[in-house]
Parts: sequence; C-alpha cells; structure tokens
Amino acid sequence: SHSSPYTMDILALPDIFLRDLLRLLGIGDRMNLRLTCRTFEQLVANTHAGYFKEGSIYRYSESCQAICLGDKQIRNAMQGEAKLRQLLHLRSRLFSRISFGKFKIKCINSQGEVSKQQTLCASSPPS
Amino acid sequence: RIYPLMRVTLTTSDGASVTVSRQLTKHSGFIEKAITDMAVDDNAVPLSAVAVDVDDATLKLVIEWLTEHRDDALPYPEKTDEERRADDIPAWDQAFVQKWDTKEDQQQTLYAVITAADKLDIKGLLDMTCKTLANKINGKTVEEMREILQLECDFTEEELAEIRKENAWCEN
Repeated sequence: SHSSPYTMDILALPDIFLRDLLRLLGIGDRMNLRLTCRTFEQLVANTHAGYFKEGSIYRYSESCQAICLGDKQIRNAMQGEAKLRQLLHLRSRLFSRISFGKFKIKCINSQGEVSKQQTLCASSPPS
Repeated sequence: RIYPLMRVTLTTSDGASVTVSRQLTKHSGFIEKAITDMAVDDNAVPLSAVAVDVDDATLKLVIEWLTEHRDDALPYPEKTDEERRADDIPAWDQAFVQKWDTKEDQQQTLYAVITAADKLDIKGLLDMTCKTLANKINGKTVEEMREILQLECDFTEEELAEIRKENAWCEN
C-alpha cells in the first residue's frame, strides 16, 4: 500500500483531466455520474460528450419519434411542445457538444415502410 | 535537442533526491522547462536540483513508467474524439497499474500518480491514468461510482428524483 499523504479527492483533480475523463465515457455512464453529486451533475452538463459512431432520428408519426445517441435512445421525443422542452433540457444536462461519424434520419409510415431517409457522414456530403 | 547522457537531480516534496537521465525527463514538460530556465550549457549537467512537488514513493512510480516509455515519440500525439478510447491501454501499463492500484489502497496511489503526472506535465502518463479511471467507472451503478470516486451524495431526495425522471427519458 502507498504511504502517500494524498487522499483521494477526484474533484480536486485538474479540470482538464475531469473533462477528458468524461469524454471517454458513454451516455449511460454520464447519466449515472449526474446522480453521484452536484459537482459531477454540473460537470456532465458542461463537458464535451465526445464522439459517437452513429446517431439517428426515427420518425414513426407526428407524435412518435425516437432519437438514438450512441448507446442510448430517447423515446417519444417530440410528443408535444412540453415533451420537446423536456428533451432539450435533458440534452443540455447531458452534453455540451457531441459529434457523430454517421447520422441517419428515417421516416417510417403507418405500414412500417421507410418513406424517407437521409444519412449524413462526417467525411462525406449529405447523401 | 536532448542530451540523453545528461543527468538531472530531482528533489521530492519529502526531501529525497533522485538522479535520472534526460532521456526520461524529456517527457516531463515541467522538468524540461525548469532545465531550460536554468540556462545550462549544452554539455553541462544541471547540478541545481529541480524541485518537484511530488513525494518520493510517487516519483519512483513515475520514474518506473518513464523508464518503460523513454523511447516514446514526442510530442505526445493528440488524438481526435474519434480516435480516443479507453480500452487501448498497453499491456505493460495495465500490469504497472495493477501492481499498486488495490482496493485496500482506496486508489490513493492512482490519485497521487494522476496528480504527479499533471504537476510534472507528463501527457502520456496523464492520458493512461485517465483511461484507467474511465475503465473503473465504465458500466457501474451510481452507488458503485460514488464508492470508486469517494464522493458524498449532496443531493436532496427531491433533486435525485428529478434527475432520475430526466434520465428515464433515455433507454438502452
């Protein structure tokens, strides 16, 4: 065991270290970190969330959309103005900025068929 | 230009002295700056010791890491968000951390090494310890995270309920 006089105080670590740490974590871990203490709740909200390979918006109907961000899905995201406000609030509490390798937008009609779709890739123009 | 045969004496916060080669200290932005500020002659050994605000036990670990990484390229490569990941810690580094990062130690050594890497400006070591901590937290519950990071919950029950409600919007 180390005889160092240091005591573990994660919050005393340099800000750049904590920001880098959060960029290495997925959305699920960021959500859990929000619940640990006030400082991490703030930190999660104020740090770059990093890179996700894929993201998508699936629109099933006027009242039902799903937004996928990395390993998480936000359900029924656009169900009315109040829900939209809730979504924007959550988004601002989870990350200040994120980037995607590929972002897909899909509209699915009542028969379950894809009526419209667009894929945006980081390295190529919109298809 | 680095003169690998040059030796540098480092004095620790608890009064110990350690002499190491420039080949190791070149990875520390802090020590390199201190040597540059001394304006020593190219071939001279900077006899004036560089004071480092790190204790002896921690400095020994830092030097062990620097010895293994003495031939790493400089400057330390900056990675984009896309390239950054926590699961690419080299095998030697993983074994190095496992040697001293025990539960009994309550991660004080890891914290001491992180702090030392920051103070001495050793980017590679700071990056490796950051990934180590990220891997510890990854996939853990809120309670487990508090235990690992030694955090006290300072939320009220109402605040916790509100955040849980927000988080409930997301699903796997």
